[in-house]
Formats: sequence, structure tokens, C-alpha cells
Amino acid sequence: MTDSVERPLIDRVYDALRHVIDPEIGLDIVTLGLVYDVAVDGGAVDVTFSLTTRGCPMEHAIRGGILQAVEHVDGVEAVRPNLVWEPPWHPGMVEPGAL
Amino acid sequence: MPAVASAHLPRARVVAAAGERSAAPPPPILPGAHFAAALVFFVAGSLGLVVIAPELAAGAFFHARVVAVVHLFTLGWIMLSIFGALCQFLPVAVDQPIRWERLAQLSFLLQAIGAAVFVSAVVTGSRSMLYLGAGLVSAAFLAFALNLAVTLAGAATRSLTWWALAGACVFLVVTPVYGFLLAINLHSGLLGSQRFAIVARHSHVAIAGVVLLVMVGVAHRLLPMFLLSHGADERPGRVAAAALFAGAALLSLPFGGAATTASAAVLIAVGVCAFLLQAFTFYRHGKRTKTDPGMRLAAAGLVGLAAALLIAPFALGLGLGNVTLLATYHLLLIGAVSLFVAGHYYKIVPFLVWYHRFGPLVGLRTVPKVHELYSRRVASVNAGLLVAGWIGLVVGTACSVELVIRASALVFASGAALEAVTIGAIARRKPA
Repeated sequence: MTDSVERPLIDRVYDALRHVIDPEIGLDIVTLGLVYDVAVDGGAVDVTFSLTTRGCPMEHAIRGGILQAVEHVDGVEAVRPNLVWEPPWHPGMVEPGAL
Repeated sequence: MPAVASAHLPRARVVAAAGERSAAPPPPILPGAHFAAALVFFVAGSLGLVVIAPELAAGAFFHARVVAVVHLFTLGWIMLSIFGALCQFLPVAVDQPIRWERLAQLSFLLQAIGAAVFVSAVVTGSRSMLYLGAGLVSAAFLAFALNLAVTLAGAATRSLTWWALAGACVFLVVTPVYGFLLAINLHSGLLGSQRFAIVARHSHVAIAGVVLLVMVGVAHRLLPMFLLSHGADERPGRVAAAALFAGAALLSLPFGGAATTASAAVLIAVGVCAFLLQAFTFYRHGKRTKTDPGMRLAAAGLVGLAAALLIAPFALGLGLGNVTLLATYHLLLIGAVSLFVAGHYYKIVPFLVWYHRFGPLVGLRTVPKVHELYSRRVASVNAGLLVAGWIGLVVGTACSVELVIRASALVFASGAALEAVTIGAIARRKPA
């Protein structure tokens, strides 16, 4: 797949991820800087994300939200959320002015 | 949500999720039952404050009705809340769910029934029911301590939270030993003039060794998460846990005399100061522009804890020589912890409801945020009533004015009732 085709899919995936909120903070996970990477390989999408703190109770909801939001994006055939703790998230990763 | 709403499209294949995974929380009924019962005790205890206004004005520290109301707060409100909150947050705190859910259900029943029986027996003077209540509560403490210890033993890493909760396990065992001794003393009088010393030991082992250690451990995990105060200096938390544990351990010893007791008091004071400094550091470091009513109420509890610490040397030093000061000190201390707990209900219960009812809809449709599950204004009124009533109770008791105590108790009870109604309404929230 060429880059010109891949970019719009990544954009659409990011758009979908903006519908996944951290309900405690009230912001979506892209604005919060919790989405570290989105990789597209054909129709397969890997979403690498973190949480505000290790053991965050929202993990299951956010992981499920990523699956449910991205799997409906046109062109996506498979979704794989990948939770990582490195680098550790900190409030400086939030989009400026969002908090 | 255009990308999400196209439900007619073939759904993508979901590949098994990768990366790290956290432990799952227990079913909501387990912490929910604890919180519901705790709120009943909270309201009952608050109404009890209205009834014991004459005893508080007289500084009747050992009066049976005062003992009963104190235990409505400590055994019913505070301990049931702690047990329930730990069931919910152990997966967050130590990445392990509570080891035996059935044992947690059993300890809940033992604690709730035992506290009710114990309090009723103190008021009615029934010896057999008193021993039954004390026995049930002691069994609940031991069962929960065992469950917590086994859960902690399975944790892969040992954080400050882990150590603080492990320390609390020890004092969950020690506290009922002194409690049972005091229950026996109510009829036999075997402690004689030592009664005050044992009451002080019992209450401070419970507060410092169980309640404050749990608060230090859980706050270390939750405050940075709630306030977004990542990167704050966490050394005061370590000092707090170590000093509180050492102080409560020294105080637990049934021997050692005044020097040991004084050393224990100094260690506990250092622990409380360190905890307050840690909490202040988290609040100051927080990136959230708005602090919600729950966290403000919890902060009021911490201010009360600082005030209790200031008058503790005088109240405990004079002992029964100044019962007014003694009653004022205990009102400050138990009130402070009660407000800290009450504030956290506005964090824990909405989260619990959101997680189980709205969480599964994330990414499919717009879901409310946690704070949108209740009215901020009602929560602020609730917090205001509790704080105003509590301050009035403390001032009225310090000045021995029954009318002020009774009026303040009514205000406090209104706050407690409003909290119970509001939390109940949150618990009933469902997706439209």
C-alpha cells in the first residue's frame, strides 16, 4: 500500500480514537497524549497506547473503546491495541491548553 | 461520530490484544454492598450525634451512647468503606484482585452485622449481645486481614502502596484484640484505672495502624491519578508509612511504660505530618484546573487531621483531667477521617457505575464523563453541610454548648443524608 493511501487511513483511525475518552479526566486519549503510535499494515492497525498511571482502572474500558472505535473505520480489517508503560505518561504530553 | 456510526459495514477482525494487561476489578456488587451498608451507618451515626449532644456538652467521654455513636462511625462508616474500597482498588493498587471474593463477602456480612449488634448492645447493656457483636467484628477484621495478606503475597512488585497495606494487615489483627478487651471491661471493669490508657491505645492503633496506613497507601496511588500530579516528590509518603507503622507497632505493645508510649506518639505525629506534606505536595503539583467537590471534601478532612494533630499532645497528655478537650480531639480526628472518606465516595462510586454501565459503550457512542453522573452543585452543598456541621460540632463541644452541638449535628446529619441520597442516585444511573 502506498503512503498516500495509508495516511488517510491513519488520519481516520486517529479521528476514531478521539471518540475514546478517559472519563475521569474528561478528555479523549489522543488529546491526552495517551496514543503513542498508530501503525497500519494493509488493513491491520496496531494502536500503541499508555495510561495515566500504571494499573489505571480505566484500562479495560479504554482498551475496549479503542477496539470498538477503530474496528468500524472503513478499510480496517484487524485492530490490535498494545498497552505499553515506556515512556511513562506525564501531564506534559497533553495537547497544550487542553487541561 | 461518523467513523464509528457506520455499523452496517462489516466489522473488522479483532486481533488478540497485545502488550501489558492489568488485573480485572471484582463484580460491582462486592464494593457496592460495602458502600451501601457504610452509608446507612454514616446516616445513623450522624443522627446519633444529635442524640448525644448533652453527653458531648458534658464531655462524658465514656458514656455508653457516646461509645455507641463513635463505633457507628468507626466500625460502620469508616471500616466498611475501607474494606469496600480495597476490594475495588486492589487491582489498581497492587495489580492483584482480592484473592478470595467469597471470604470478602463473608467479612462484609460479619462486619456489617457485627457492628450493628455491637452498637445496639452497648446502648442496651446486653452482655451476651456485646460479646457476640465484638466477636463478629473481630472475625471480620481477621478474615479481611487474611484475605488482604494473601492478595499482597501474590503481587509481583512491592510499591509504597504494597508496604502500607501490608502494615495495615498487622494492625487489623491487633485492633480487635484491644477492642475485645475493652468490651469485656464494659461489664467486668477489669481494667480499672487503666481503661483510658487502653482506650487511647485501641483508638490510635486503629486510626494510625489501619486507617492512616491505608490512606497513605491508597492516596499514593490515587491522588496523582485524580489530580494529575505526576512527578511530585514521593519521599514524604515513604516516611509517613514507615513512621506510622513503627508508631502503631510500639503502641501495640502491652508493656514498655511512658517512654514507649511517648516514642510511639512522636512517630505517629511524624507519620501524620509526612502524610499531610505528601498530600499537600500532590494537591500543589496537580495539573487539573478544577478540583471537584469530592477532592475538596477530602482536603477538608486533611485540614481537620492537621488540627487534630495540633491538639493531640494536650488532649492525650491531660487525658481524663480535661474531658472536654478529649471529646473535642476525638470529634476532630474521627470527623476528619469521615470527611476524607465521604469525599472519596464522589470519586469511587461514579467511577464504579461508569466502569460497569458506560465503559462497554466507549468507542460506540458518546458516553458521559464520570463527573457528569452527578450534580456538582448538589455535591458542593453536600460537602458544605458536612464541613459546616463538623466545625460546629467541634466548636460546640470545645465550648460545652449543647444547643450549638445539637444544631451542628443536625446540619451534619443533613449532609450525611444528602450524601446517601446522592450516591444512591448515582448508583442507579444507566445509559439511556
